[in-house]
Amino acid sequence: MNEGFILSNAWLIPAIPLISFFLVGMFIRPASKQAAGLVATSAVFLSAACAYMLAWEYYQAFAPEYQSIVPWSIEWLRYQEFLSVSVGVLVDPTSILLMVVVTTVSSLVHLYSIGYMHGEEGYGRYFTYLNLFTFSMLGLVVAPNIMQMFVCWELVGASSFLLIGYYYDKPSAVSASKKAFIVTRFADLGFLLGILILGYFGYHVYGVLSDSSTSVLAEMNQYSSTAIQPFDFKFLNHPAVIAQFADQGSLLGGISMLTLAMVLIFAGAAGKSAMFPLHIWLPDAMEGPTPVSALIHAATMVVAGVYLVARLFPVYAASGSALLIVAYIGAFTCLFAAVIGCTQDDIKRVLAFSTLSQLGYMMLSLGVATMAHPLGYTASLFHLFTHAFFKALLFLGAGSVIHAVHSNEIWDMGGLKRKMPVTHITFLIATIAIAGIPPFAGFFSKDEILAAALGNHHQIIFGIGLLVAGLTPFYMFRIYFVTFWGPHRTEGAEHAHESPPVMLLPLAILAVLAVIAGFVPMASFVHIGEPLGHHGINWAIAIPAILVALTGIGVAWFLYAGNQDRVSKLVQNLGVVYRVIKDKFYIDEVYLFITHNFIFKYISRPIAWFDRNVVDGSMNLTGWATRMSGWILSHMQTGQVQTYAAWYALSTIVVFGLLAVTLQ
Amino acid sequence: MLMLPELIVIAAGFIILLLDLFLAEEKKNILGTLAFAGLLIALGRTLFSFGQQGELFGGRFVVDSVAIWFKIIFLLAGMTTVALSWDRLTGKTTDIASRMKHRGEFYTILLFSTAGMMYLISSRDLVTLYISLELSTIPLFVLVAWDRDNPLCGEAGLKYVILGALSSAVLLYGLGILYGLSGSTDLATISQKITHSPALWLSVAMITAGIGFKLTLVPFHMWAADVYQGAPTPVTAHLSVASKAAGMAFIFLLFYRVLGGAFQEWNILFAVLATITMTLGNLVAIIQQNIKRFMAFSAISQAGYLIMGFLGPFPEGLPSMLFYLYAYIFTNLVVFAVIIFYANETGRENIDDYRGLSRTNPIIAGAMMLGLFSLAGIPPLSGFVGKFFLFSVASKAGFHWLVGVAAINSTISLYYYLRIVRQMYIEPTMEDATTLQISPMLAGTIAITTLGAVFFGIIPFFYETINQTVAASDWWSVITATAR
Repeated sequence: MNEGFILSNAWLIPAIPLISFFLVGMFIRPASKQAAGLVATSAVFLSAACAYMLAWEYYQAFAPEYQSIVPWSIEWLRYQEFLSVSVGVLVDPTSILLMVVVTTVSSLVHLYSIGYMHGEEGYGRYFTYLNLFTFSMLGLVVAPNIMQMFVCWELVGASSFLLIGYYYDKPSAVSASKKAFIVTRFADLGFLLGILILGYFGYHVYGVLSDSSTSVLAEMNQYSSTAIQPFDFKFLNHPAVIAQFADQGSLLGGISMLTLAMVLIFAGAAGKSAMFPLHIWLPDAMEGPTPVSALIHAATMVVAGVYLVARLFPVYAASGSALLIVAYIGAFTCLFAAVIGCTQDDIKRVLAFSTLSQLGYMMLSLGVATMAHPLGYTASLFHLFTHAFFKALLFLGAGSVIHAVHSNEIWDMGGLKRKMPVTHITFLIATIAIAGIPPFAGFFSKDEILAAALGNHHQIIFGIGLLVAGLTPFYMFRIYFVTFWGPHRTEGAEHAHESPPVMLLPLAILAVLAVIAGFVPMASFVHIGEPLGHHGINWAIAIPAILVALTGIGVAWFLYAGNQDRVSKLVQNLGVVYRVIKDKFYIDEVYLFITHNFIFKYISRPIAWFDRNVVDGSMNLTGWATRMSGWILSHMQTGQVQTYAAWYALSTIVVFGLLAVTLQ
Repeated sequence: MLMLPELIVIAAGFIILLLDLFLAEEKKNILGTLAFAGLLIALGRTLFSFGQQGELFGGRFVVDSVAIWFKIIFLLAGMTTVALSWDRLTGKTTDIASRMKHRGEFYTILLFSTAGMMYLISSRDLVTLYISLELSTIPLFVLVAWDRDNPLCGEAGLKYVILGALSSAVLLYGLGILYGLSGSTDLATISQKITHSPALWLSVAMITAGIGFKLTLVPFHMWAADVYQGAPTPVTAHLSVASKAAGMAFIFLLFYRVLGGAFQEWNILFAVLATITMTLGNLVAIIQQNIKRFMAFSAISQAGYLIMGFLGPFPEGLPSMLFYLYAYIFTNLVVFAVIIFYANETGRENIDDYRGLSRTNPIIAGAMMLGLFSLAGIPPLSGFVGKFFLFSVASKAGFHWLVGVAAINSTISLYYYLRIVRQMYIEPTMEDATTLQISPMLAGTIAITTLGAVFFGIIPFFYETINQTVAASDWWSVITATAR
């Protein structure tokens, strides 16, 4: 095994953005804004280059076994024997895939931001946060154990908070960032509880294994720079460990501990990946600058949840019911978000709901996979891969449009086809890609997901998937037609002009990727369990899917490409149903009702009272008592030499007394 | 050659005394330079003798690594005092009342005191020990009363001399009992002959009282507040570091070398003294208004932390105390340098007077803040690291409650150190405040001491260096040999 330079120094990939974060944040930002943007951007490009090198070296050195290796790690915490946590870098096909996606999209977003954020207040601050965000996500992706993943997971949450609330003088941005942070934090509570349960049993199993079958641990120690630890994914995912997990007993109602732990962890994943009912933060998160939305929706943050489930897939597979929950929540979110997406008027909001829907695809695809028939696992990550490019492209294209028109409302746009030719073409490519029309990227991954669902006999989920395959082109082409076709509806659209080259270059690169990404033979790179046989496109599934997609496009064309009367008539006929969908099924209102009427009233207020009166009161009392005793003691200091001398003599006698008593 | 550093210091003192008679007033700047150079050469010579061991006069004067570490402290303190008093003695201060006269005598006396301290740590004999202590203390009485026209200063000098004489008498009586018990003045012989007896306890109590005076341990601390406030500020700075280090040197020799192995049994005495010292110092510091008086109580509480190193005997005890002494002198001198700078320029000495210093002189206020934070023990400054080692000694000795008390005290101390930071950074600027000019001498002192206060915390091998070099001395083998 001849390890290349990058392979043995894989820590460079997350470290470069981190170093750049400190450099830019502390030294370069105060000195020069332009330099801050350039340094931050080139750091991420450098990191991307390292990620490509890593992929190359890894596939050279480890073909065709594709072991998961830990080329670099250091011990971080040691509680006792067997119970320690490292910080390190895990390299396997899945993490390489994510590293490539994250660094590619992030570097293009950085590049685009140089143009998009030009002249904004806090330009340097923006790039500092962007670097931190990229680092956090890379740290999460390379985590060899669940603890490091959790730490970076929280860092992702914190840096998204900073970026969504970037325009901190805008109340809506502030509340959106708070919402994102609180909702994901709330979900992370489940994640943490799940980690604790899993860690408890993991530690237990570790002890059992180190007593009985050391060969299993020795096998896991291969390809690692440090000894295997109870929190390591490699340990948790090992068949011998999972077999032990299954014996760990069950709770009331027959739910096994394993299922409980995995469902709790999924709660965390659902929070970050915005699965129903924790999806409410994502549509609001577009209050941040548009490139940030591209980053959040395409490459960082939301795919973290999918990645977490994929990382722990063998454990999920061992607890069948947890995986089933993943599948159905994914499928429901997929449909639910697509329906809402059909009615929204804000271009970024439509894209946000489309992200929800596509994440639903990824989750359901993971959910339908099993260790015996793991096509769904590959399909999910394949879709993550293709989606990253066309979704980033859609957001950056939308940003380009918004930059030109100065409005988010699609009804303020129109007729931009000729005004912004490059944006138009790239946006169209992305729209076709997400719609699933061959030979664009989205077609291949969606086809694989549908094949996976049907292959493992999940007919209902397959049905939902097929239905959403029709809804997706409908709502995407809806915004496409309204934005780029027809007459100019406002002054802004009238005077729109094409964005600068620094913004168009990333669009062009992403457009190329959105076209060709589907041709990557993903099954031969990323798979779990037995290698998948080469399988071509399943035309029995692909043809209906294409037909459904074309129908969706046709309906969108019929309703939105020309006369708008048809739409208003349809809306009138749908009446209440339309209203409910347009208002996103009132999920936000339900949350508000519950928090205001129950949580604030019966939980928060008593706690606040306790804090203000008991906690603060005791602090004030302590402070007051301390000052008082100081004041009293200061009266010993009379200023009289006689008093001092008397004290001195007396104290000498007391010291003697003390010694006499203790040494007697 | 072992005694060369001491001889250089004394010679410099005499040369200054003689030159002072002949030099014209305007040429007397050379005296300060001479004093500084004398101390610097002695420091160089001391540093050069690292790794050497040796004795003179039949073992009554010994140089080993422990002695060298202490001597460096004394010499650094002396040099800093020369630098801090420079502007006042040369009449360059804006505030005329701050100026001091008679610089020739000032330097001579300062150097003699320093030489006394240096002899002290090398002594291995009760008589030498006591004489050295007096040589270091009596000049300080004079220095404290330097501004004889200032009633507050005169009062301080008088109080210091009366109480100092009292403590000296008690100490001497304690040493006398030791001689009576053992029939010898040689420390090694005494340590072999003494046995537990009420007379020994009385002797220990009296020595503790005598040294408690120098270390400002409660309840022997009474003099400190009045003397610190009344003395000229450079002298206060000197008292707070050099005099305290001399006290540490003395107590180290007696309690480690003489009482040695029986040491564990005195533990509770130091635990109690540490507790009341840090608690009282901290509580009373809260309500002070005058910054010098405030620093007096701060110094008292720091002494409480310092003697936690005596909760042993452990091989870590001495390195911890030495490290803390180094951290403490640099940190404390940062604060005093700023106090002197401010008093030189404005004549103001109250905590309220520091309002808005961060806006008129941001760099100096920043240095002051670092110094105060280090005194409070905020990581990564040296004060934190020093406290960490001392607390770990206490914890190793089984005094977990004392660590708790010390931690609470650190919190209290943070409160009152932050009072000054608040005046500098948050309170509105004083009406008539302008950016103050700082003299190069003080600017250099502040820069060097601040660097020291920061870097001792960050550079990890400084403690290791102390630890390793101190291991070359025989102090630990003396303790283990006499353990009984």
